[in-house]
Parts: sequence; C-alpha cells; structure tokens
Amino acid sequence: MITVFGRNYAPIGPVCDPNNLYAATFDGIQDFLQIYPAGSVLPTTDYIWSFWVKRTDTNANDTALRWFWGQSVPINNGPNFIRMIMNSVATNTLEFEFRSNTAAHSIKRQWVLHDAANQAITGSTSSASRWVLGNSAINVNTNGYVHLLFHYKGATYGSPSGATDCDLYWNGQLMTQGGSPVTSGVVTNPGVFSYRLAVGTNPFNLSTTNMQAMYMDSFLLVPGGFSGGQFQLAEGLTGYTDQQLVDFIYNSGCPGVLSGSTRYGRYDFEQNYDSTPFGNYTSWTSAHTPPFTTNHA
Amino acid sequence: MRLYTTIKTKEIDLINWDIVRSNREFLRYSVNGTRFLIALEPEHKNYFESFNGMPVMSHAEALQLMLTPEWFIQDTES
Repeated sequence: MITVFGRNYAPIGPVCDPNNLYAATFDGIQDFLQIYPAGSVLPTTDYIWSFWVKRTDTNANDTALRWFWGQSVPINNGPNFIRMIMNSVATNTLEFEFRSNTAAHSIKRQWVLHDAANQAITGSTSSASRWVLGNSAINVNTNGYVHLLFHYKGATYGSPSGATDCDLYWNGQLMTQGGSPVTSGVVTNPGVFSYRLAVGTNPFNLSTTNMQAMYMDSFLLVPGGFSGGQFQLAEGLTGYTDQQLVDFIYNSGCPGVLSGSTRYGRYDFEQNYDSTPFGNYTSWTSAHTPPFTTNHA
Repeated sequence: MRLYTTIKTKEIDLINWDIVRSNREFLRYSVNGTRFLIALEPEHKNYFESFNGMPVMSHAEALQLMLTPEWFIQDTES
C-alpha cells in the first residue's frame, strides 16, 4: 500500500476468486445448516460475519423472521443468543440481536432498507420495494448477490452496549440504523452452555417458519473483528481503516482470492460445507443435503 | 432443480427413502401433523406421482403451500 501525506491509497482488493464455482442453496422450506455442539461467540469480543446472499424468496408479503445466521442454546434463547435476520415483521428490515442473557440484556440494531439514508445503498425506495427475487430495484452484483458484513463490537461485562456496537455494510457501504425496537442492554455473563450455530433457520428451535430461501456464498468469520488485527495480519493489510478493510472484502462485488490463513474462518461452499483450509473450523452439517448451485456470488 | 410433494404421515414407511432428498429427522409437517413434505429429484417425479396420485410441486409452488394455514406455524419469535 502507498501512503501519501498520511492518506492510505489502498488497492481495491484481490482478484475475483477463479475457484469460486458454487454456492449453497436453501429452499426456505426445509434446508438449513447447523453445528452442534459449538463454542460461543461472546458479547465481550468483536466479531465480523461477512457473506454473499441471493434471496430466492419471491413473496413480497412475507411476515416472518428469516434467519441468515444465528447462535443459541437449543430450546433456550436466553444465553448468548444471536440472530442476523431479514425481519419481515418489521417490513424490509435487516436486524442484528445479541442477547447476552435473556431479552433483559439484549442488544438489538435494525436497518430499514428503504429509509432515506439507505435508499442509494440498497436500491429500495419504499416499504413495498422488498428484497425478494425479481425486484430489479435492489442493488445486487452481476450474479444477483448482495454482500452483507456485520461488524459487532463487544462491550465489557457490566457495561451497557452502545448504539455503534454493531455496524452493517451492504455491498461495502455503511448502512444507517433505523426502525424499532432498539435495545442497549447491559452485557452480562450467562455462564457455561452448549451452543448450536445455524445458517438458514433459528438455532433455538430449527423452526421451519424462520427458514430463509436463499443462495449463500463465501461466508467469512473474523473473531476479534478488525480490532483484533488477525484478518489484517493474514492478508498483509497494514494501516487500513475499517472502511478500507470492508472494501477489501467486498472487492468491488465479487469474493476475492484470500490467503488461506487459519487466522479467521471461511466457508466457500464449493460443493461442501467444510472450512477453507479444511479443518480450520468445524464443518457444517446439512439437514437435507440440498444441491449446490453454479449461480455463485 | 428439486421438486416437492407431500406424503401422509401414516405412510412414512411406505416410500423409498433412498430417493428422497429430505432427512427423516428434520421433516416439515403440516400444522395438524397428518402430512409431511419431502424434496425429490426430477427423475423420481413419476414414482411419487404414482404413489400419491397427485402432481409434484415446483419450488415456487411448495413455498406457496408453506404459507397456507394448513402448513404455516406462527412464529414464536418477535
């Protein structure tokens, strides 16, 4: 990277990954992935989830909560419960919630796709313009995908969470929070539990009501978030701002070639549910062995 | 592209599970529990249409069916 007068001129990003040939499919009816038992993402630690999604639901009148990713103790959604969802109950809203210990200690943030500040980012200009398959107004890449990056910033136990404790980037652009309810509970330690992680449904109960019809590709997990520095170390990115790092991951609209480091987690869904490199992270278990699609991100 | 059909719950042991693209452990049942949904590959369409005596469904048709009162279970989350 070249630095001129203190300003970083970061490269746009890596080249598009030539080995990205497939994506995972979720039919919104029965498909999901899970890891159980799993360790917990803690509320005190920064964390990044980055993934490419093509919603294949065509129902613009959906009124359910549709899961992208979640963490929960089975049949106990109190301790360290996390949900990243399309909240169609709130209409056209993306949501992040982290309950460190029941709803009394909940951090909830929402981003309304058609809010004035987000319209240029998402393409949605009204509550009727939903993120569903067939809505050409939504800003997607050439293969129909949106890149979402949730950046959670942990708080210490006993402290209230802050309004800026979770950022969401849509296609590399920082979204403006909105909607309700918004909660900023005090972060607490719930104790020790055995957790389930799930893609495509609610890990609390694997509810069919919460299943997401989507294609998902290139799922990236960065424990410690950007502040931890592990992603930067792995990819040789020094002195980058958060926005520059997001730009690097968004890569102008395609998953890029990354280093293959074990400093963070990656699932490429190249006809398998294993991490890249294999064994670095636990492989997902598929509920119904759905086919993969060549309509990748 | 997968196709879908519903099967009577009491006939769960009568179908050939080797050609079903659904896991018996995680089946999606109707609200009253009398039927469950399975996914199948197009090459097995005739087998299931003969078994059921009704046409199989496309993905879009199955999604629509899941929104009907007979199949949609109210969300426990808010």
